[in-house]
Amino acid sequence: MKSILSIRNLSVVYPGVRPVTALENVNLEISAGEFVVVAGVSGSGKSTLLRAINRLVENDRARVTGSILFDGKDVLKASRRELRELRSHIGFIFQEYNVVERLSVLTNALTGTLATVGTWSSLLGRFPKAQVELAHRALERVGIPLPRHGDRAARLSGGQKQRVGIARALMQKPRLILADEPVASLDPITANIVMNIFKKINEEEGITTIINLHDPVLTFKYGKRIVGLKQGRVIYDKPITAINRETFEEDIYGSGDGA
Amino acid sequence: MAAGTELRRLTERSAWGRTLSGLLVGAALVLLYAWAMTGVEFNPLLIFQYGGKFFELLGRMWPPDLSSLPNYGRPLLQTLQMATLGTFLGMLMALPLVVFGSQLVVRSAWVYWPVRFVMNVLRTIPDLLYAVLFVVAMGFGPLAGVGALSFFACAIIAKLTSESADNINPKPIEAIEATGANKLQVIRYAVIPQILPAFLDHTLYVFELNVRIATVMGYVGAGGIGMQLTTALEWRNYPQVMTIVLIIFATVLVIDLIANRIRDALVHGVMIPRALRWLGLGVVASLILWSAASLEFNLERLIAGVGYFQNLVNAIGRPDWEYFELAVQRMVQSLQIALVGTTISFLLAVPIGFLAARSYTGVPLPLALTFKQVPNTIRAFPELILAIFFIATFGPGTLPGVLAIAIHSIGMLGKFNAEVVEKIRKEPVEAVQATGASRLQVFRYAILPQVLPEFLALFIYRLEINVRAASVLGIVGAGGIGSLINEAQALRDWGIVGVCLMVIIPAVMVIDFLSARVRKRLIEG
Ligand SMILES: Nc1ncnc2c1ncn2[C@@H]1O[C@H](COP(=O)(O)OP(=O)(O)OP(=O)(O)O)[C@@H](O)[C@H]1O
Ligand SMILES: [Mg+2]
Repeated sequence: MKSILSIRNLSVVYPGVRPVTALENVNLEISAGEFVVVAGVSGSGKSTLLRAINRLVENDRARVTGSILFDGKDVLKASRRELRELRSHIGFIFQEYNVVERLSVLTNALTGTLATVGTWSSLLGRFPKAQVELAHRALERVGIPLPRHGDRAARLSGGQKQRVGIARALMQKPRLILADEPVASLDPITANIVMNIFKKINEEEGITTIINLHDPVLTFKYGKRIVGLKQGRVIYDKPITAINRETFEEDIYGSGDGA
Repeated sequence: MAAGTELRRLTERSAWGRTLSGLLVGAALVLLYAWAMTGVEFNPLLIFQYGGKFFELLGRMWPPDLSSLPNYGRPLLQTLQMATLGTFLGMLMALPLVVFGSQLVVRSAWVYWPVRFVMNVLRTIPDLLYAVLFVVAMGFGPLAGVGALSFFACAIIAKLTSESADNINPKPIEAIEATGANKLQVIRYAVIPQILPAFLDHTLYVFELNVRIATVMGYVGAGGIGMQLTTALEWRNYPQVMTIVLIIFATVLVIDLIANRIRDALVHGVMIPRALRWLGLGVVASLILWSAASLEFNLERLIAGVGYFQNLVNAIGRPDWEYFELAVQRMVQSLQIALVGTTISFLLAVPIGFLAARSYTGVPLPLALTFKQVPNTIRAFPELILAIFFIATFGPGTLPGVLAIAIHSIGMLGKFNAEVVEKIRKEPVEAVQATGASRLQVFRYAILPQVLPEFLALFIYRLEINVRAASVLGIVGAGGIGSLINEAQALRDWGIVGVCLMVIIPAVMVIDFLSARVRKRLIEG
């Protein structure tokens, strides 16, 4: 199948008195339409990997080397304008939902279209009618009923905020969805509902999806390909069909270095 | 599709409604400012035309007359003693108000509502007006200053502390009650430990305020270094004026610095060793005793003070209603001065807030640190001194009042705006960045929604404070109702002062009430 994302020799170092090498020589090839779960213990570099793909790590002044090809274009070499264009095709979902609490639910969803609508009208708070309707649909699709669309995002529950985060990503009409521990702050039932939304989007629209999870149960339940990270290196990469259920937890999370 | 059309109707209506309400609010604001600007005859041209005179004036003050420095040692000490004693007495007076105004302590509304009412009335009277009133009652001198400062201190400490007391955690109280403890024990073990840090914090804050006020109280004859300032101004001895202003500036800065250190320690709950704590208490106690001794404050005078207070009530208890209309007109002018002044200050303070906070603006560190100092420096110049300078530049009138308020308020607004910017949560910013939005769009959709309501709330809070300031700046000739008080004082017509009080108190109360309402709406959404 056609490759959509190819990561080669990616290393990320956070500067500081004692610099931290969060990723070391990571190589990954992701094909269009895949549903990949990245697993690993806390601090293994999962967030860094996703945040490197759309260069959010720059906010932490990280030094990134290697290459990341998204749709054949090198993300790391993109100019600011090109980067914004690339980012507009990548929907990003955060663990802490990252909704703008003081904006309405609807406007939060509409921020997903900022890269494509006119700058000036968007600065005045105006969005094309067609986009507004799409936003209503996207919100309903992730399970936020119409009467709540005018509410302040601050008034939603955690699970609802995360749905708004997904709707925002959907509004981008993304070719790739990156989700960094999207259910880690949710209760088990809500977590499964949200995971199912991701699964459905992937299956119905074929949007390539990469999700970070630290929970082995969810990883095994939803992953169609599982990538294991440990101390910044890829130590495991298998399709679900090839995974040995008995040893997989030990293989990825185990501290006793059996290999 | 039925659902589709309904959806469209819903969004269209809300878009229309938004445009309409936007236009209405815009029109209302234009009218409001047109009214306020004509009221204060605000004319930016004038500032450019005569602004040069301000620097000319500064030139005439330079170099300061350092030879006169030793003359100011005693007045400066007296100023600090007034502030110390005033704050201490204010604290003692505030305590019962706090305790009996708290719903946690007193269950009966018949007790705490009247207490709260008294608290609110005390808080409406501006600092210098207290000074005028006490000079009326007790005659010239530092003791009038102490009286004024103690009432002012009591008002603020009581108000701020009871606000903190309303927000304390009720759970420990329940826990202690559940052990079978009696009321006093509950107060001792669950209430006091929770409000003591806030109480001390507010007391220190009021001490800072009192030092500022004490430096200018001499202008109305209430003792301290302000009296020397008035004399130097009357003799047009500008180098001496500059010397005194610099002394005041340095004193305020040093006191702020020390008080802020201590308040930080209090708020962060730093454990202070027992020995140090007793030492601190000893130092404070001896400072208070020393102040009382030097100002010749004693029990006899305290008892006499009660008599003075009766004089005061008698004097202003017969308001001269003939002047009512004039007083209302001047009060309106004070409101206009406060509104225009605070707005100018707001417009200047927003960029300062962003420049002083490094988080998202990426301002280089030295620049940010400079901008952090700007508000602190400005804050150290009391409004009254600024007003005096501006009156010397532009002549008496409303413009000096507007400018004094505009410049002085940059201090607090700039400082707090910077704190708001520092607290911007970065998660929403990243989320909007991740959609490919431009910098301007990120600002509009992730940063502005976080800061704007807080900025506006601070603006309104400052406006509330400035209404008080604007109603006394007239005492030095800067327009508003204070000018009427000034005339009354010159004519020794206390009935006019009485009528001014009858206008100021309800006006400030209404403003406070509205301000609290609006701020609550803004912050809670
Ligand atoms: N902004 C930063 N500055 C410095 N070091 C960082 C920064 N962010 C992450 N790190 C370090 O990089 C390493 C990888 O962190 P990362 O957040 O990518 O791990 P993670 O697998 O997402 O962990 P978690 O499950 O806790 O989210 C860790 O050692 C972490 O301490
Ligand atoms: Mg992480």
